[in-house]
Amino acid sequence: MFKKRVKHLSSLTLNWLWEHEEQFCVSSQQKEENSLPWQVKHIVELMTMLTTLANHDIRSGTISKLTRRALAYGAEFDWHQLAAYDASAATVVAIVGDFFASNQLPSPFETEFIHFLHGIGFCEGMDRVPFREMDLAYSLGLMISPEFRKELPVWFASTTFGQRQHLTRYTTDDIYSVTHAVFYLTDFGRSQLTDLLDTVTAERLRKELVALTAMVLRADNVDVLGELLLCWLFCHVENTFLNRTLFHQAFERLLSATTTEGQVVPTMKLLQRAQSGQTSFADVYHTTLVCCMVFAVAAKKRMPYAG
Amino acid sequence: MLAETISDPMLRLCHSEFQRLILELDSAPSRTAFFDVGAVAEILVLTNGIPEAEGLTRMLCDAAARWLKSGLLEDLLMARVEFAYHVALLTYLAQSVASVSPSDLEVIRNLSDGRLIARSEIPVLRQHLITAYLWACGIHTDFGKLGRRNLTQIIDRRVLRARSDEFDLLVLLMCAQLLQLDCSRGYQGPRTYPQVLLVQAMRAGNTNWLPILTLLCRRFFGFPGPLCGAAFKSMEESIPAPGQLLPAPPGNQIDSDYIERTERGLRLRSTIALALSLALPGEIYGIQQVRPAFN
Repeated sequence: MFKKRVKHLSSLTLNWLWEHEEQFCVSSQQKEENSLPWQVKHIVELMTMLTTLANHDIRSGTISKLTRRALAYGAEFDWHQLAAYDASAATVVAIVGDFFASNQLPSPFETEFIHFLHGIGFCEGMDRVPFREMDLAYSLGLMISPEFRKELPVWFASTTFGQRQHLTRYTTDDIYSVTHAVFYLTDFGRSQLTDLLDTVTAERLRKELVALTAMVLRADNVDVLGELLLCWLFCHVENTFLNRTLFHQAFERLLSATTTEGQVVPTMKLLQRAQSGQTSFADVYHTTLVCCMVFAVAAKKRMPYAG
Repeated sequence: MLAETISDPMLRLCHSEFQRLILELDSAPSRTAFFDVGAVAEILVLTNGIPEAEGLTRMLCDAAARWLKSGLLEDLLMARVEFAYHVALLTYLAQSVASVSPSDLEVIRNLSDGRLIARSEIPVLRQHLITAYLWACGIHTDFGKLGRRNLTQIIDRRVLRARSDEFDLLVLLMCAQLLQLDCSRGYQGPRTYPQVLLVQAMRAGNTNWLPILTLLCRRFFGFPGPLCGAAFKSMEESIPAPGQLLPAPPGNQIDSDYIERTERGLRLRSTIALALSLALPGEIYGIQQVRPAFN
């Protein structure tokens, strides 16, 4: 019964994304004075989700439609101007290139140009936080050479987890640092944590994920909770009675944050507004993408913590 | 001549403005006032050996010692990770005050040992600087390695960016501090980036950045003669009216969630740099550099 419900929610959230597909088109509206002159975040995050689903062999008619649309939007935009404008765009073009590659298509940009930017050190000319350095290493691993993946555990040691942040001091940004680190270390669930980490660190990380999930359950942040659950699925947290209870409770929170239309709200405070149609696409799209991935991967893995 | 007619009154103005700022932070600590003080501290810590800066530096060190003893620095360090860099800097400056003893650092040391401070995500360059200042205070912490990257890549390659903001200048200020602390892991400093920014500041009429970059080039990064003459000429043309500080940088934006650049602090730090540059005797480039650099 529960498994069926998860599968239904996976379809529901995918349908909501498809109904709002035009919102993923790259826009040239600059939101703030200091932000990028192009709004590419939406489409790139959609591509991340679609690549992840494809890599986990999750397919459906709606996924195919979304993929075709994302490819069309990706092909329309001039990624070179973005890449040359800001060093942080290295991640963006890596995701776009990987998405096109996962669809057996060439990148919608000259890869030689990206190699040139990398060659002159343009991508590195930025003072990033350590988990963003992991982001860059992961991106260079996709675009330039798999050798860059070896940098992931080195940078991981400088992240908030690597520095052994005290549990009571974790901020929301710190939790995002941990979830993103897991995404890169496991290649979004395609490889094992221990491929890059020693067993002791990997085990400490799994235990920290459980503790952080318990902490976030006591707060109101469905977005980061969704990312944490993805991490559970990607790095095989131990399937104990206590962990099953926690996972189940967290999953119930995601379910209760999902509206009948299929959008998932980032905080329960927004639920009522969402149900009366008062939320914007920007308010909910990220959490919906994250939870769509959780639902789809969990359904594919036959709900490992459903017990 | 310049020293008597322009620099001295400008330094007196900076002194009174800075005193007012410190009193504000003493009586009602606020995020904005703290970042204002931090911006001034970033410049004063780099003025070792300039006699005209001693009064301001002494005032800052005394205030830092007071804040350390009262627990204000600990409170700030616990409150938000964004404060960690300036707290580490002020803690370091407080060490120069005779009344500060190792026991005044005990709480910060315990917080660090207990993994309760400065462990959140912080940009890499700032991580290094925090570590360096805390080490200089006898608080040993290590935020990890740089991987295959090095400071040359993080700092020098910024010259390739298509856009510029306050963070460009902040990176150079942090780089100079690392060089001064001899914590640059063999890195000798950027080769062209500071000079390029200086030219950019002159061409854009950014009178706020100009004296800071002049000071940094003179003391840390090298200052080719013709560029030095042009910078000095530009500074002479942008001297503020009596009783006024230099204006804030145009488009005072910073592309970072991890630090705040507030107008008052930025105006004050640049006016201090301008006054010091004008006060220095003789040829502007005749001063011994703190470290060997490019030219």
